[in-house]
Amino acid sequence: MDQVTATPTDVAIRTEGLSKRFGTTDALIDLDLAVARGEVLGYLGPNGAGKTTTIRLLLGLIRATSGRAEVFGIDAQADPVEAHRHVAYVPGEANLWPSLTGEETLHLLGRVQGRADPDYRQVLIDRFQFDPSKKVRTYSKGNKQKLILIAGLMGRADLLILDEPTSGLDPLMERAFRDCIAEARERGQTVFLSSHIMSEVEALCDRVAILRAGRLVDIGRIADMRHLSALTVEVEFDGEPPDLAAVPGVSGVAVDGDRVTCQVDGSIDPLLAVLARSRVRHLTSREPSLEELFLAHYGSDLSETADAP
Amino acid sequence: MHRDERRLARTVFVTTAKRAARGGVLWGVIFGALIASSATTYVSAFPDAASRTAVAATLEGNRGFEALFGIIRGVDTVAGYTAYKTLYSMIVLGAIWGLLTSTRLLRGEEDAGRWELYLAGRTTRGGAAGQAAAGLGVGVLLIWVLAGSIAAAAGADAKVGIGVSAAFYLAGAAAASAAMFVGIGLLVGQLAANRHTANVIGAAVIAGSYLVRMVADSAPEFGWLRWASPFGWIEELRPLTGSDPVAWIPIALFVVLCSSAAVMLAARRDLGAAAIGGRDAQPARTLLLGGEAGLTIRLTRPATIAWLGAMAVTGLVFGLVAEAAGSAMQATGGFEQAIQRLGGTAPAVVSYLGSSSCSRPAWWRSRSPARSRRRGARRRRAISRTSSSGPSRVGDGSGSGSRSVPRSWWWQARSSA
Repeated sequence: MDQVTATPTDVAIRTEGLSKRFGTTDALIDLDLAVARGEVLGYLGPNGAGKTTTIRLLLGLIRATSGRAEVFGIDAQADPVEAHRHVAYVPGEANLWPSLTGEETLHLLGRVQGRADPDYRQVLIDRFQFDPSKKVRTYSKGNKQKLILIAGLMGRADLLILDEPTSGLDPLMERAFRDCIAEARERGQTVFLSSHIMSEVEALCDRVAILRAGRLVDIGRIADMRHLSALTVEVEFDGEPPDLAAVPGVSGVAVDGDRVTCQVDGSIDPLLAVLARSRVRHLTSREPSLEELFLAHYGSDLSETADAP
Repeated sequence: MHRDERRLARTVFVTTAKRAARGGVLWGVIFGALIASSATTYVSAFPDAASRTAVAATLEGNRGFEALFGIIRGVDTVAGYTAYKTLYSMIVLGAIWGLLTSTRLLRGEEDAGRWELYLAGRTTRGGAAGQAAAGLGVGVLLIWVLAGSIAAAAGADAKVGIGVSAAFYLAGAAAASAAMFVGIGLLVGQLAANRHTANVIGAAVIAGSYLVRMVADSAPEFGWLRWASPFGWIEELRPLTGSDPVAWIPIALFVVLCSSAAVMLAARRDLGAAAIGGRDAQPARTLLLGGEAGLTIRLTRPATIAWLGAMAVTGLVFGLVAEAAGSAMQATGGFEQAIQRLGGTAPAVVSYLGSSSCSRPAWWRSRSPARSRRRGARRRRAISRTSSSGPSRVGDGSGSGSRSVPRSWWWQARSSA
């Protein structure tokens, strides 16, 4: 695993053996993580993997069962107020105060965070095409998400902790969000982006950390994680499907009558060569979902780990 | 800490205070108007000492009324009557406001996901809860100031004659109830899994406090129980009737203890966690999930069971109390005249007592036929005496006096006969 080794002041986030247990459920297990100042880290995982738990521990909203979490060298559990001086948090979903207008909400959240740049706030309002004069109860889900995004970004905090921030945004606004994150990186802000949208993470992040069932299963630069670029290929044949299991780079072959589904790691040429010798009626390829990647790459390993004493 | 830093650190306080202030202003004005209205009504209804002595003789010592509304003292004075008439309305309403407001502004905010936005700012879990508690205190303070000011203004009338300090003391008693149940709301909000559960627990505390206080006031030998109920403590303050400030001690301790415990629990509790009713998983129970009606029953079942239980207990207790009150009223010749002079509220009280009496479980009514027969005979004699004693008579069938007699009262007498 690719870990940052630097002085505390160069590290925006550092966790050591960070664990959280809810009753009998281990939500997070021995998380060792370091995010460098100015880095954009994608924090990936399926639902229930422990992403939000990690964020809540970093913000001091919940107590760690064991381990330590630091934000710019400050113990986030022991001194959250000091840590929060450097942090802006954008939740994936928030039921904002329905009787306040968008502008009033931005004012309040600016007070809560202790920082707001009115000029930049206006830039964000224009960029996200947001009308702050309306009451929150009239906003759609997407507009509420724009509001919470503007509130998080407007203070230009040293560290942006974003928990699935683009849920509910249309593609145009997703692009605006990506522009904002790119600008944040240029300004030297650190971004901790929790998401389960691979394309978003690939477009924005310097490194990716992958979490499953509370454990960090992989972390590194996207360029070094080529194994994550597996394609899911679905082929319908006229007649008996050929045996694809032995084709180099092909895995997870599932045959259903004349239809075959498989994953392809690396070059797709060997598979195309085999298919060219068969009568193919229909072929589709797509990036696998994150869940499929986990099942393909980590499923058996994790179950063995979980079964271990 | 710089000035800006201090301002930032108070954000939760300011936000909560603004929201609590709306209710505080509303209820402060209502309580003040209630006090002023009661005092002026009494002055006009009982302008002389003789009529006041008569009403005092009618009401004081009536165990039924005292169980319902607290120990009756000094109703031959404007101050005493005003305290008797307004205190329990104000403290029950204040308690409900305090409970609902505190659970809404703390646990409700947490349930909605807004609390984490606060906690991601310049505060801690315990600090935010402490600020919210202080913000709720602003609402309580406004109740006290507004109710006291309006009461003092009304009391300045020479005919009313309630002093400024006495007016604020009475308003303080009402605000004390709100403060105590703000504390309860803060505490149960930290213990319960959500705002709804917190409200249910808090409502049970209100009901329990009221019932304990009722028992305490139902007989002298149970008087010590007043010190076991928050409502009893307020009654022991004796606003406008001899003021006993000693009872402020348990009230203050209760508020401080509840609020401190809530802040302490908030500091040690994970966001969203609960000590009570936090069951996250259970086996599927699909019996009532076949349609909207079944779903409605399923969703309202806990509240329905709680309400039925509470109504049964309340009906039983009120029935017992109403029976005692009714017996005492029948034995008092001047009661009817007194309540009619007090305006439209007295018939409502008597109707209420009549209907409460009807709500007693049937087994209680029928458990002693011989006792019922004896009681019936006593009532017939009482009606006979009242019928021949003056223009306003029960059941004589003539004149405006007979028409103005509350129907439930007449019905109760007739049905027993």
